[in-house]
Amino acid sequence: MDVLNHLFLGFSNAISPANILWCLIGVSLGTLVGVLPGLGPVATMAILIPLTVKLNHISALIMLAGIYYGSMYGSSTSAILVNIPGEPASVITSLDGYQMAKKGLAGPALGMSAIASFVAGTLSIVGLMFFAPLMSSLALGFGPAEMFALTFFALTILFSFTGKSLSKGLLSGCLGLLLATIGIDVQTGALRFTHNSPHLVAGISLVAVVVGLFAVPEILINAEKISLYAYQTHIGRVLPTKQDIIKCLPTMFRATVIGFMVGIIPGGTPAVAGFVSYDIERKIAKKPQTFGQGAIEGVAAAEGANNSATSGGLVPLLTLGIPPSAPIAVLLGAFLVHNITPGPLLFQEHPEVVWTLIASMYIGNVMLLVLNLPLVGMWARICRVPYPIIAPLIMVISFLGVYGDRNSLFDVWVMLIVGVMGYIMRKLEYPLVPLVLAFIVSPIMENALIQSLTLSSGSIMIFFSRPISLTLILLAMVSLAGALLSRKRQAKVVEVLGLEGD
Amino acid sequence: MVLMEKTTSALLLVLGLYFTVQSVSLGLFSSGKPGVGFFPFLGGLILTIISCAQLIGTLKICKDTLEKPWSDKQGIRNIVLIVAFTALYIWTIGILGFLIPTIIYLLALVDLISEYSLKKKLIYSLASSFILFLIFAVLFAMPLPKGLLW
Repeated sequence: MDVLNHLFLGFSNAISPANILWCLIGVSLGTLVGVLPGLGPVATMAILIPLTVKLNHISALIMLAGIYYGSMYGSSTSAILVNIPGEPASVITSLDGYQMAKKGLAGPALGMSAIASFVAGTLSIVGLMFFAPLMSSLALGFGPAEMFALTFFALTILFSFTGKSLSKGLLSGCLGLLLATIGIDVQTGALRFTHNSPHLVAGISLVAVVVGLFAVPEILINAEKISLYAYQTHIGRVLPTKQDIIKCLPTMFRATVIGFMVGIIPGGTPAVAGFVSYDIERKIAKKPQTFGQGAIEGVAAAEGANNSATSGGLVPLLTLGIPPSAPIAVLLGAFLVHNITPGPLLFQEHPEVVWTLIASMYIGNVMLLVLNLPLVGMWARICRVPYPIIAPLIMVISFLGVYGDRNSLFDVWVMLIVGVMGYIMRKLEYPLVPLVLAFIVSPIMENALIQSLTLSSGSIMIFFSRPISLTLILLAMVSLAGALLSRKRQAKVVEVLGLEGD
Repeated sequence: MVLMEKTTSALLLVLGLYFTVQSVSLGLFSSGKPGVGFFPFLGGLILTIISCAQLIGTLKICKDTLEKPWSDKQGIRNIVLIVAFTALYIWTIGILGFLIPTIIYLLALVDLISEYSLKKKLIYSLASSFILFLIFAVLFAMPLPKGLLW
């Protein structure tokens, strides 16, 4: 009952004309960046955060969240029509979606993608609505030791399972932890690693790091080989048949549950959720051989799961203040820019923010269904915009976004340097997500560590004497050991099969 | 690629050592409690150890690994020029203001990565710069860098 009352409060705020407008702008922008390969939701959200400072904080968060879940809808369009997924999450969608398009069934594939996204997106918000307050009340009992163990666990999982190499994941994460320590120490007021530079006193800008890591390398990688995106596919009728919808309904429900659960886990990105759901669906299918050849259930499984994972990812953010993936990390940055700290107290201190955001997601999903069913032809035409036209504009908008954050040209230099660093890291297969997540989590982790050690007079036994922190630290160790073993096994297989370089 | 792997590992090792040593000088403990340098010391130490292992691993493996090219000549040229143009753009924007360097920057980038006619490129860079200026400076009232020429 309490949940429904809160939801009613959320809806009463979310349906204000301003919030409806910002929701529409967010989901439209999300669909646009999802359709356009080369500019993802992470970079877009990072660029827009500083520009939202003058907005009402709720409207700003509604718009930024809209970009995230909207991009999941949009990315399937280019995946189905031109076999170029706008987002990694739609790689799986392209397996069957593009095959359907080649058979002249692009319309039903796009339609099923929109319907599955809508069903799973909406049902997963129901999950978020009931699961998040429950988790939040559990997390209220967390002390500094549990908080440190939780951040340690979250980062360890990410370091272990992102990228091909464990050591590269760890190096990337350590770099993020250390970059965040530059500047003034909030606990003591002491300056660290600033070398008397006034620019470094306030620390390295989060926006500069995020835009530098995600927008600049994207442009540089694409500039190596410029290609013109153009599609030839005929769309035809958009709605799938009634039989197709009935056939795919169980798939959509399964995809919702799988996507939501995967989304909660650190590192459980929409792409991973889509893959897991598709794999399970193929295994239980009556005709598994049709998967990869244009099975409409394949499109529903992938799209349903990746949309559901976006809501799942909000659970650890809203209840623990821990972002499980890069777009959620940027969303955390947006909360912080607007002086709202996500975590166990968020539901008590800012219920209007959380519940308006949740209510806006219901509205946003309806808007996305309308945008992606009747207007799919318009988004499809956008796939034709050549990359050389978009890329220079992204660079200038990135510049404006970073400069606007603190009105500092120094931050723009930081963006460029981090961008070049990000480009080299991507080429050498260093994962970028651990760096940005560690950069964001570093102050929380340091505070929790210092407070714990102060409470225990310097004894690290505090982390092992409390059941929750002990469990989390053990899980972190198990995940590190597991990652190490699985990589060794993988290397052995590669060596035996002579697959070096693949 | 192999050389870049080695160089990156070596740079990370240097960075790890820098943070470790600097953290010690900041103070690891004060009055029995963890000091200002405690957390970065831990991070720096882990970075040093892993980058050292990574460097040793790279030196060992690379002898048997086929050298993969970084990119083709055209790709490398594009990357270097984009970074150079962007650095020049950031530098000049502080002196000349937003508008003129943006027009030149957009023209330079679109010229580098596309094969449109000069007329189209000029229209694109002029129109985009003015639209961006109108959106950000006028509509959002964002304080853009002002120099000698706007």
